[in-house]
Amino acid sequence: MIVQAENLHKTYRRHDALRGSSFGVPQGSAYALIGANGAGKTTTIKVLMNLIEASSGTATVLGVDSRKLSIRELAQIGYVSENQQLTGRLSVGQYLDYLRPFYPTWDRSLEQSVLRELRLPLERKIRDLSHGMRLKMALACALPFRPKLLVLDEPFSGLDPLVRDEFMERLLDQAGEMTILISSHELADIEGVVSDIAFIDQGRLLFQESMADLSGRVREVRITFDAEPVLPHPIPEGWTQIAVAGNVLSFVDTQFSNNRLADIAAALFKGVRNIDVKPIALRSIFTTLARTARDGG
Amino acid sequence: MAWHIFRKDLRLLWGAALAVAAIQLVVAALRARSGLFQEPRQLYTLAIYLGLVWRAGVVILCVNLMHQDAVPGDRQDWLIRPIGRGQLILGKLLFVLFAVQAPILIVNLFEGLTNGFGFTASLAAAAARNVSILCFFSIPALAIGAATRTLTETFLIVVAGLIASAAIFFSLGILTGQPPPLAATGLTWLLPATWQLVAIVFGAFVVAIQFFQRKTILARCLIGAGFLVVNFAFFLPWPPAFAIQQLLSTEPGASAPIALTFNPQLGPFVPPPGAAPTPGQGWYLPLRVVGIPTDSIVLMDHAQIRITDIDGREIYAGTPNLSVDGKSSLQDARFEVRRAENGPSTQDSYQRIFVPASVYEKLRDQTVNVSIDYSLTLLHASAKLTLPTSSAPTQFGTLGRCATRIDSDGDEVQVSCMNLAPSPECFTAFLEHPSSGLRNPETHHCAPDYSPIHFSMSPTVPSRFAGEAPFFDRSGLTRYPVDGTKLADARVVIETYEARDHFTRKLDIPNVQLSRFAGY
Repeated sequence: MIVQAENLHKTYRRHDALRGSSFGVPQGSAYALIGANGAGKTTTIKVLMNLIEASSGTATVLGVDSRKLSIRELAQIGYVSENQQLTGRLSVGQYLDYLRPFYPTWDRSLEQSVLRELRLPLERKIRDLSHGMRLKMALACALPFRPKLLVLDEPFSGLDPLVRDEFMERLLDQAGEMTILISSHELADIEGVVSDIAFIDQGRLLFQESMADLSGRVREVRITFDAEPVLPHPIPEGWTQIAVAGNVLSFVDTQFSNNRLADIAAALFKGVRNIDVKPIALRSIFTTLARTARDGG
Repeated sequence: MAWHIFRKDLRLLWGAALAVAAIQLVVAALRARSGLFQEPRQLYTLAIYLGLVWRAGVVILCVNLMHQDAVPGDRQDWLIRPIGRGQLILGKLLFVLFAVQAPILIVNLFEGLTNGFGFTASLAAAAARNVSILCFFSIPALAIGAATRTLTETFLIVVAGLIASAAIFFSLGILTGQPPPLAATGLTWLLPATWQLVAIVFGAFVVAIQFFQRKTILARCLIGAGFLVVNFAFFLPWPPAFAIQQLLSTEPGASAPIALTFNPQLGPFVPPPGAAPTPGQGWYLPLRVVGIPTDSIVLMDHAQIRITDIDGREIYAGTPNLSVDGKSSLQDARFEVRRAENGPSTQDSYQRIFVPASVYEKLRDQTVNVSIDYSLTLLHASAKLTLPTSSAPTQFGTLGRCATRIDSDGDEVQVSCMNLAPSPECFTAFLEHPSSGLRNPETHHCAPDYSPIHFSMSPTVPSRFAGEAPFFDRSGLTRYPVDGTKLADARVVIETYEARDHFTRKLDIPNVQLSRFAGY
């Protein structure tokens, strides 16, 4: 694991921002931390980057305790955050000039290519850049040294679709070379990118798994009956957002497998005419899981 | 990498650094323009106000420097960069040295040279002032800048510190019932010395804690503790303070022959003709000082008085300048005796003692024992020079650059000297007429500063001292042998004194009726 967190707790006065988060980011993965606003994603990332100290628990990044990250590790970590404070009075070019010597692996040609693709105005002062431009600027500062780990904290917040696309395209160009840890609630943007996903809610990690497993186990199901069905009691485990309309029962099955669904349908219902199963978008998976978590499911 | 960081900061702050240096240059030019007699007054006053602006400028520049890579908070970009903390601190120090301190050094050096002082002396004075400014302003500003994020935050912390300091200062004053022991003495240098020591020690801790551990709350607590230590230094008890001073005596033991005795034969104090009444209730105890070396002054720095009844019960204890009913400064209570070059080694003087009215009334007709613990300084003549009564600025060896002129009232010759070294602790001035051998009474000034190092926060290096030699009294009470008619052939003689030894003496006066020595 390139990042490993164990039982992270972070308390701000009386508010628990993290309540025992544990997860691991496999090397070479594109790992997404998803969760609602205030769920603890940014706090987790700040702990990993040693920007804040956890109240308890440990985290290692590149094999080093996150509280002891040295310039050796930081030279291999790219970081882009929506609220990163850059030196506003320097121009884009001046800031890149400033950063370059700190990174032994800085690739000038890659830098040129990134700048070209992101279309950043080198002469403009950073403080005069729009929010989107600043995020692109932060990305431009994070890629040219070919980081082993790229940490993106809510990188798409407030970006218009065009900038978002430019950002993603640039990211994807290099995605194969590094591990990406991304926190976001803009799920549509990360859906095609991430390989692993972790869901965090109220400071607690509810699950983490590969994207393939997740999209495989969460399905929208519609069962058509001969007559209006009677809902079983208890409801089978993993079924959520259950609705009955006439002779159609629809629900989201968060523990889907073909055999399991067929077995349950056969055991609990009579007069099943048709079972229709559809994969659902990450956004819907997220809202389903978030609602379930919120409702104590 | 430190150099690289320095260049980045210079790119961001060169304008501010240039502005601060320009203000200092203007202050130096105004001071030079106002000359030895500091006229016109408006220019001199402007220089003083600009000097305050310059000090604020140095502080703001240093704070701003730290804010370029602010430590508090979790959003700063530099925190996630492979920038060594040590290199970052070094980069900041390079900026302070090259962009803050170096311009100050250059302006001060230039100032010394243009005022006619030699290169070595000018450089030494400029370097000493540089260290002072570094410790007084730059290092504390770096520490505060390291513990804050914005100038507003800094401003609030400084204002809070000043309010807390004032509260502590006045509270301690009220609690002890005494003015700060070191106030108005030659030992006040211990305050800037403490400030500088605190600045270096606490400043280093704060910067290290912030950059290496990012403990902002602890760093801010340390800054608060620094403020406290500086405030408590105002109330440093006199005995240890004077003990430090004694260790720094340049001629320890030179005061060994000096003794103080009570001398009732001297009789009650008779004020000079025309003297204004002295405020406050008090007594004038006649003293005799014996064993004074030639060409020397014995100056009372501090006295602790204890009055007991004949059974030994304490009635009053305090310093001689305390009066709750009338304002009495240490100067009122301080005495000094001087032995001229060929004068007698025994000199008489009076110790003025002011006490609260209640004590004064209680002791009016009572026989008491008085015990006084003296802290004294022996000063010895260090330089003597003679000048015409009206002369352009001229270099006079160790005294520096001096000039004389007749004042606008036409009753005294004014003398003003500028030097790169600190001003003398005491000096006398008088007019003499060489062809007739006549000479006027001396005027005498003492503003003791026993500092081993010249602590100053001024943007300009030269120090000035000024005196006067009167030749005409408009009230008619005094007639001067060298008067206006002899001025053309007269000359001003100035003699300066430097502290050589600091010593203590105890004076016990048993069974004395203080009413015999009441003030007038």
